Amino acid sequence: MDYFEPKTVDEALSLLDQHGEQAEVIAGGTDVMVDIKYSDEPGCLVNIKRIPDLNAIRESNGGVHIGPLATIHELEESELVRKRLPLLWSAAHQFASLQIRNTATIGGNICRASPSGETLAPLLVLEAEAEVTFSDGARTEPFSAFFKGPGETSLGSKGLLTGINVPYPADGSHAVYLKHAVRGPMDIAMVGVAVMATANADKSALDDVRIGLGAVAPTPVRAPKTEALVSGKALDAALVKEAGASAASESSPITDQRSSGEYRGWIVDALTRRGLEQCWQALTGKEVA
Amino acid sequence: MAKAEYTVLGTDMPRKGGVERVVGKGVYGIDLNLPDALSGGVLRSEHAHAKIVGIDTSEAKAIPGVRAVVTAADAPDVRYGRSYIDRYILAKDKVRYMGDPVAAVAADSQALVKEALKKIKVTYEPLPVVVDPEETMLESAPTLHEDMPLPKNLPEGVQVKNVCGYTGVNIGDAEAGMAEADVVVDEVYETKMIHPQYLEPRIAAARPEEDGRITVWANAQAPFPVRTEVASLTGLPLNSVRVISTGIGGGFGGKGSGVTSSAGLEPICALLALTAKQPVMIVMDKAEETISTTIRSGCKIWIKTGAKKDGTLVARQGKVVYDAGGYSGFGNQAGGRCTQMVGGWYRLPNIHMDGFTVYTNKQVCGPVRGPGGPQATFAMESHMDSIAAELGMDPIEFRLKNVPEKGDSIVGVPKLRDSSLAETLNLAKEKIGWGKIQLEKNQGIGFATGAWIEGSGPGGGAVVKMNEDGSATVHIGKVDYGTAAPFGIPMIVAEVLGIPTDDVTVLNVDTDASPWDAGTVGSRSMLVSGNAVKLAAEDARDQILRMAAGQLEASPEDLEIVDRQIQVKGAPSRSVSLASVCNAGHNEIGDVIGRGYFDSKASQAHERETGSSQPFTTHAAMVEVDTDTGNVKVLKYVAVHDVGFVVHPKAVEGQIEGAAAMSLGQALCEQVVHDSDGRTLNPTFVDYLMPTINMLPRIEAVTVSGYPGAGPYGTKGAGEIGSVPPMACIANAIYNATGVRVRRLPLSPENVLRALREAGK
Ligand SMILES: Cc1cc2nc3c(=O)[nH]c(=O)nc-3n(C[C@H](O)[C@H](O)[C@H](O)COP(=O)(O)OP(=O)(O)OC[C@H]3O[C@@H](n4cnc5c(N)ncnc54)[C@H](O)[C@@H]3O)c2cc1C
Repeated sequence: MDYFEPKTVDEALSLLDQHGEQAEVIAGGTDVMVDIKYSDEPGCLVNIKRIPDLNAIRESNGGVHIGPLATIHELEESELVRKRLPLLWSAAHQFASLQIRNTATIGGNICRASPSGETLAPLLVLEAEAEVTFSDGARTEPFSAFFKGPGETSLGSKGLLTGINVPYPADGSHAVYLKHAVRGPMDIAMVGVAVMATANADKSALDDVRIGLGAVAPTPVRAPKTEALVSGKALDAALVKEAGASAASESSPITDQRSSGEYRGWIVDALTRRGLEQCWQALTGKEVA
Repeated sequence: MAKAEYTVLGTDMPRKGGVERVVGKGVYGIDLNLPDALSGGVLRSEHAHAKIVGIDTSEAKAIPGVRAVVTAADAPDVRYGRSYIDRYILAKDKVRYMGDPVAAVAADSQALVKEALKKIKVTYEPLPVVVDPEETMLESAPTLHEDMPLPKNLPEGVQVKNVCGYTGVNIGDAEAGMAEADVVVDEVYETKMIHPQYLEPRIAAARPEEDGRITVWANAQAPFPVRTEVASLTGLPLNSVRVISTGIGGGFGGKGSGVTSSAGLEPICALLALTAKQPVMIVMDKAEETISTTIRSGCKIWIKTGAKKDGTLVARQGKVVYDAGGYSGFGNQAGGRCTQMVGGWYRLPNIHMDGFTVYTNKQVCGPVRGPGGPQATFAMESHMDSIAAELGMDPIEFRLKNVPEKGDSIVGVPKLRDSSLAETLNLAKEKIGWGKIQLEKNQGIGFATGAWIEGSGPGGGAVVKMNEDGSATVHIGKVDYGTAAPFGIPMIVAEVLGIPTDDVTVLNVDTDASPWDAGTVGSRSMLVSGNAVKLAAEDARDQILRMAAGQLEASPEDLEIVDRQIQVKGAPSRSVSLASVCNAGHNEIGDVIGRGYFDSKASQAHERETGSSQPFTTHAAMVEVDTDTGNVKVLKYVAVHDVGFVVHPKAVEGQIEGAAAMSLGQALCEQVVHDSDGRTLNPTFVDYLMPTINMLPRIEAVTVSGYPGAGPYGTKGAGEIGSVPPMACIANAIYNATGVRVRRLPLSPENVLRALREAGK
C-alpha cells in the first residue's frame, strides 16, 4: 500500500486523479483505519492532514466557515460554534469519547456519509453548503445534494471537501440535537434528530420549523411534511403527537445488529416530539399543553 | 473481628504487581518477547456448518518466509473435550461454527501470515445450519456430531437430538406439590450469548527445545490442563511439555482453555512450532476472539412455581435448554449448574427440573464467571418477583418467608450450617432505602438474591520455601489474574510466619515446578490454594519452631514468630531472629520447605456431616425508565455479600464491583448477535456494546460477617457470585418502575420499549 502526504490541495487532487478508485483519502483516520483493519486495504492512502489551513473555524459572509480538518473537539471548543451554531455544537458534544473527538474531523464525518454521522442532520437543518474541489475547479453545493447514499457523496473518488459554510440561524431561533444510542455519546447513533425553529412575533406559534433525521434513511434527511405540518402553528399535545408519527413515516429505517427498523421508527417519533416540545418551551416559555 | 485477631489479614495491603500494571510495564502475555519467534495465525471457518471436502495448502506453503502450514492431518488422530471428547486440534471432516479453526500458519511476519492464510484453499460442502437451541433438539434439525451418543442419564422416553448434557433435579414430588398450591406462576425467560471481553487478547507462544521438549507460554487460567491438551494433541508425554503462565490481563473464565477444552490455541501454536522447528507466537485479534473463543451461553428457561396464599413456596417445575455451541466445551457443566440454580436456594420441598445442554452451530461455551448462574438467576429471581406480585406480597417479605435456615437443605447442598440470605436481604433493603426513598414517576427499585454453591472439584497443593533471611518463596498452582495469588496468598503466608508481605514472593505458575492445579476457576483460589498455603506455611513454621526450641530452651508450642523474631510467648526478650534459624536450618534439615495440600474430598465429607456455610447475596437497584425510548438508567446500586471472612477488603470489593459491572453489561446492552447463517454480526467493539462508565452506577459493595466458610480462616469464594443477581435485579427494578416484566435479555432500550408497548404502556 502506497502512502502520500500532499502539502497542498492541488497536490492531493492530482494524486486522486492519478490513482482513481485505488486511492483513499485519510484525515483523522477514525473510520479509515477501522476499515483497513477489517476489509481489504486500499491501493494507496492520501493523508490530507498535513495540508495547512484546512482546519480553520472563522466567521465569513454572515456565517461560519469550517475547514474540513477541524476536529470535532475543535468545534466543541470553539466559542463561535458554541454561541452561533449551538445545534452543531451539541452534536459535536455528543460525539464519542474525547480521544475520538480529538482525532476525528468534521470533513471525515461528512465524507464518510454514514447516515448516522453526528454532524450530518444538523448541517442539513442549518442549510449549510459544501465546498467541493476537483482538479478542474471548485464549486459549492447544499448538503441536501451532496449526500447520495450510504458512503456516497458527489465527490466520487476524485474530489475533496475543502470547506463547510454554515449560515447563521435566524435571530431568536432555538435548536436541539437529540441522539439516541444504547451508550449515549459513547456509541453510534441509532437515531439522531435535529430540530430547529423560531417563534412568531407574539410567541403564539412556531415558524420555520426544520427537522433533520439521522440514521433512519440511506442518507441524512429532512422531514418536509412534518416541518410543514407544524410550521406556523401553536404546539399542543395533539399536534406534537401527530408530528412524531409524521416524522416516523418520513423515515425509512433499516434493521441491523443495533436495532430493528421498527424500533428506529418509534424513536424518530419520540425524539421529534421531544425536540419540538423543547423548542416550544425555549421559544415561548410555555409547556406544550 | 479481623483487625484485633490478626496482624496482616483484614488489611488492604497494596496488590503485588499493581504499580507495574498501572504504569504500563510489560507484564501481560501480549508483552512476551521471544527472540526469533515467528508470527502465527489461524484460518477460521467461513461456514457455520459444512463438510470439509479438501484443504489445499500448497500455494500458502510456497510463499517465501512461510515456515509452517498445518491442518488436522499434521497432528495425531486424537480428539479432546471434557464431557464429550468431540473435537480435533483443527477441524477435520467438518466445521461446526463460523470461527472453527481449520488450519494454521507460522511465518516470518504478521503480513506473511495474513497472506498465507488467504492462500489456503478449503473446499466446503455447506450443510444446513442450526443456531437456535430449541430447534436443534428437533428431529428435523441437522446432526452436528454423527458419532456422539446422547447422554446416558437422559430420562427414558425423551425424544431429542444434538443433546450433549442432561441434568435432572428431583426433590420431593413436584407434581403433587403443585396441586396443593393456591397460586401458580408459569413463565419463560431467555438470555443471549455474551463474550467475556477481557481487554488483553489471548496469546500463545511455543518454543521447541534442544532436548526434544517444548515450552509453551500462555495467558491461560489453567496451565496444567493446557499442558495435558498440548501433550495429547501433539503426541508428546507430559514431562516433555512445560507450560509457563504469563501475566494475564483479565480472563473471566474466557481464558479457561484446557478447562473448557475449546479454543485450543496453545496446542495449535505448539503444533506450528514443532513443525517449523522454531518458536512461534500467536496473538489473537479482538474481533477474532469475539467470534471464536469461549463465551457465556444463551439459554431458554421455563419456570413454573406454586405457592400458598401466605407466600410459602410449595413446588417448582422447569426446564432449561442451554447452548453449548459447536462442541461440548464447558456446556454440560454450565448447563447443569444453571438447571440446579433455576431450582433456587430457597426452602422448596418439591422440585423437578430438566436441563438439556445442546449443540448448535455457534461458538463454544466456556466457564465464564459463574457459569450458568447469572442466566438461571435472571429467570429464577425475576420469577420470584412475579410470584410476589401475583400474591400481592412485598418482594422482600415474600423472599424472607422462604429463606433457608440452619439445618435446611437446598439444591446442591444437603445441609446448611447457617444461612446469611435473610441478613443480606434486610441489609440490601435498608441500604437502597426501600419504602423510605421517594420514587418519582417511572422510577423503581428491584432486588435479586444470589448464591454460588461451592462446587466439588480437585484439591491442590502449595509449597513454602524459607530463604536464609527469613523471607519466603511460595509455589501454588493458581495463576495471578488479580484474585488470590497477589492478595490473599502472600497475606496468609505472612500472617502464619510473622513476616511482612514484602518478604513473601508468590511464584508464577510453571508446570515444571509448581504443584498441580485444576485451574484458576470456580471461585476456588482461596479455598484450594489458600487452604493449601496455610498448611504449607504452618508446616514451615513448625519446622522453624522445632529448631528454635533448642536454642531458646523452650518447647515449640510456647514459641511464636512476631515481626521476623521468634520469641517465647509472654517473654519476648527471650528471642532469636527468624533469619538465623532459617540459616542454621541448612546444617540441620537442609531447607525449611513447608508443604500443604487442600484435601477437597475430606473437606466435602466433613461438610456433609456438619453442614456447610454457603455464600449468599442480595443486590438492590434503583432505576429510571424512559418510557418513550425504553432507556434504563441505573441510579443507585447496592451489592450485599456474604463471602465469609474477608482477608483483603479492597480485593473483595473489587471482585464484587467487577462481577456486578460485568453482569450489568449483560443486563443493559451486551450480546453477541448472530444471523440465521450463524454469522456474528457484531464482532468489533464498535458494535459489541460493553457498558461504558457513563452507563454504570457507583456500586456500593457491602459485606456481612459471622458466617465462616470452608476457606482459610473462614473465607468463601468471592470472584463469581457478584455476577449472579444483577440481570434479575435490574429487571425487577424495571418492573417496579413500570409494572412491565421483561423476560428477554438484554434489557436494552429496544427490548424494554417493545415490552412496554406490548403491555399497552
Ligand atoms: C470508537 C469510535 C466511535 C465513534 N463514534 C462516533 C460517533 O459517536 N458519532 C459519529 O458520527 N461518528 C463516530 N465515529 C466515526 C468517526 O469517528 C467519524 O465519522 C469521524 O468524523 C471521521 O472523521 P476522520 O477524520 O477520522 O475520518 P477518516 O477516517 O480519515 O475519513 C473518513 C472518510 O472520509 C473521507 N475523507 C475525509 N476527509 C475528506 C475530505 N476532506 N475530502 C474528501 N474525503 C474525505 C475518507 O476518505 C474516508 O472515506 C466513531 C468512530 C470510532 C472508531
